Amino acid sequence: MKKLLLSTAVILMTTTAAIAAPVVGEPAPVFKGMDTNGVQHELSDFLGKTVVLEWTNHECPYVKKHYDGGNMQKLQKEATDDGVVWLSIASSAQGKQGQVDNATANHVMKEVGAHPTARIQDPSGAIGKLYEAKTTPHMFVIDAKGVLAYAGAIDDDSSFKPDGIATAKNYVRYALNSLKSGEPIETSSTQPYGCSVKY
Amino acid sequence: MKYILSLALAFFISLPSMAQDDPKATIDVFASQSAVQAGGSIDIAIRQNIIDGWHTYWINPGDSGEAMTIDWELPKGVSVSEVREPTPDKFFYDPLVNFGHKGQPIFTQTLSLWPKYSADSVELNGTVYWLVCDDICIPESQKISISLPVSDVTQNINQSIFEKAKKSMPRQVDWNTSFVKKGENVVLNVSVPSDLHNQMLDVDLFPTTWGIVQTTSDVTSEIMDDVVIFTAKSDDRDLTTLTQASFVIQTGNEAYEVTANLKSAESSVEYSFIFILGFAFVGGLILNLMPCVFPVLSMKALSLVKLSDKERSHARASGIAYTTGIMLSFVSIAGVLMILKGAGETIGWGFQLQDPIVVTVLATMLFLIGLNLMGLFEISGCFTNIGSNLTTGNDAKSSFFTGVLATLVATPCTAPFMASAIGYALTQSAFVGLLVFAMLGFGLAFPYLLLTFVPATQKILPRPGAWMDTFKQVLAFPMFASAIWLVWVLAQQAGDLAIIYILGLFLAIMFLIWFSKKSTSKLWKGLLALLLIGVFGFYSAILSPKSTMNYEPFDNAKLENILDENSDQAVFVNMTAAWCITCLVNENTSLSQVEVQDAFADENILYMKGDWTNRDEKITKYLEKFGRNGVPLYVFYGAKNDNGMRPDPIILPQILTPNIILETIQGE
Repeated sequence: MKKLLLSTAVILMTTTAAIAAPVVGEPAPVFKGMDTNGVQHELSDFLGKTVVLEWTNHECPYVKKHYDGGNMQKLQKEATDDGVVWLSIASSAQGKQGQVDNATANHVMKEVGAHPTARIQDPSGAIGKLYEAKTTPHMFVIDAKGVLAYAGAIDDDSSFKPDGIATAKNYVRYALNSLKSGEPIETSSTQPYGCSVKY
Repeated sequence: MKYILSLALAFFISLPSMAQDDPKATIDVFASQSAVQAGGSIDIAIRQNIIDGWHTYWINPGDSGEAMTIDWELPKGVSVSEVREPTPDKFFYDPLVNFGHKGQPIFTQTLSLWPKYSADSVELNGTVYWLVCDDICIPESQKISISLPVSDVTQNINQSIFEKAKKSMPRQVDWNTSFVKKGENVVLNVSVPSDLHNQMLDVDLFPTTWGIVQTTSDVTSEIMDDVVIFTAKSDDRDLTTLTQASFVIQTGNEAYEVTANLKSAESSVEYSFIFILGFAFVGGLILNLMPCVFPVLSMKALSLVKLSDKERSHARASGIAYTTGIMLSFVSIAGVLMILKGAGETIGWGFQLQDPIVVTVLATMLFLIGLNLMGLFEISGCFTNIGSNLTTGNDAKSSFFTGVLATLVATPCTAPFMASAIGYALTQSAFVGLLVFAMLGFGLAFPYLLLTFVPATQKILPRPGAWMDTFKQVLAFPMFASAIWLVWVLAQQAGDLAIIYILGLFLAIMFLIWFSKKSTSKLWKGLLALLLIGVFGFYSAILSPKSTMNYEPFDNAKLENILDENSDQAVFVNMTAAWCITCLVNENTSLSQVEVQDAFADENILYMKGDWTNRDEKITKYLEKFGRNGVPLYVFYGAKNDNGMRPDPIILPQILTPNIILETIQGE
């Protein structure tokens, strides 16, 4: 006879709305968003092209780590030159760190020489929560068929110290190169690191 | 007096943050001792002082953030351990959750000095990096240093800090723990001592690495017998990349850290059960090809070739008997294993091979079978039943024992090849485990069973002929090879000496076989069999593990010193060598006996042992002093008598018994 005691089970999942968590190897959740120039983008607009999603907050030290040395801009340039669509997404809520109006956002991007296809403003956090974006930066790569190919950190050096960038393995670059050459992506899911997204 | 000075020298600096004007956290460093000894170690504590409303991060920071790092610049001869960290708190930033610390968390490290560390003091500089967040995050760092005198005189300091640190940290426990992904959940099975079960009903679970448990997940507990089962929502990491993970289980009053092994995922019990049985069956089939088993099976199969039609029905009975023999043997070995395991022994399959006697028996058996296959002798009924009529008989009894034999000779092969599969079986319930073993046995027996039951399959066997003898002889070689391997195993277990004993045993066996062919006298054969048993008994006595007495290596200068000085110390000198059989027998039968060891301890006798295995001038001279030119030599120097005179040294005989030693040292 087994004694069986069950303690209370309270599911704390108070996460809003998310229909299904994004899973690598399955279709990426579709979304709509307005960019800093007032243009609306839909994920389905980009079918046939590889899409990179970059969660950003320009005041977060981890984002600064990748922008101050030009690392992120370089990757953005490489990717967009190659025909990849790069969407930087800011999901900071109204009044939280990283939330700025369109003009300021464009100014910041120009100042650091950022090279995304567009920067999407997501102050409601709808897209962020749809993708369960946890950190800035948090990176997603979606292949030409709309399937999520990579989710996680930008590289394998999770420290806020910038010394490691040069030697770190950049997962996004690896993923893009693998997609380009039609090879399977070796590391397709990693732990994102950085500041939390300021929902 | 001296320690006051040490205390004054032991001070700890923590410079203010270097980069930040208005740091959200600062660091203080403390040492647990006022000084540190060369070759010794002390604890150091690193305390974060975090301002209200902000937090830093645990080793697994949760959804975001980063754990503190300490970069010490370590001088030569100084090392520090991993950082020990307090149990974390949860910080909720809907929908994200972080694991971290607030207030004044204290981390500790152990600082150790090499024994040869020669400087007067230890000066340690380092930098601590941490991320501190409320709604926003700020990376901060601070230079720290610690300065301690190196001294044997030391005392505890900062005790309250270290007590507080210890209280805030999870207790490291070695509870047997496994984890597995089951659908959407991660299930953790922990063997928690029963007096703590009540604490386990409402816990928080913190994996020390990312991606195992969703940070937002609650944990349910279920208590089944001795095991507490925790269930939580699994995160997206592919768990097959892990083999182990550590978890901190935080109860209301205390936290425990366990290390869990990953159990391979099972989708459903029924499916996996049948799968495992099938796997075991195939494993058993493969065993037939192992070098120790193949010859046995081959000879058994070839015996069928010679059968006339009339004997076919006997063949079936023989097949069943063979199968029963194998399956029963497997199940009994497994049963014994499970009982021993249940009794808390830490053993696995192949435990049989951990006993030198069993290894000896197996090696001898393989050697005998090899000789038999070579045609050197036919085992006749009077000698032993096991393995009899390997090649000819098909009666049920001999087939049963052939099955037992096949299992026994298969064990040395199963141990290395099947270890993981059998290991898995042993983690299942007793019933499942035994079934798996039975299936393994069935697989081993199956080819022969098939041959006896389906006559058509016998057609694949070649026609009998002279080739069978050649084939049989060839099969002897895998047997000898297996025997050689076991002799090597034995040497690892029982030392080099075991090789000469087991090869001596083989020699005796060969002699017996040769002699029994020469002589027809039953008396002689009987006597020789007794002799063989005697050799074996002697051999077992030598091999059986014994505690050896602590000794001091022979040192003539030290001995002279003790004898010259007015010391009262009694000394027993043993001069020995590895190649001296008498010496080793004496050590095993007399010097290592408990009563002798006790007597040495009671009488406070210094036991000195000189090893003459290699040339040694000093020992040779010592031997000459007693008119000897070889070992063994045993000399006892008694303690002083009542007149303050030391009695003459006593030379003991070259063949010792415990009594001789006891009488000598007790002066009777």
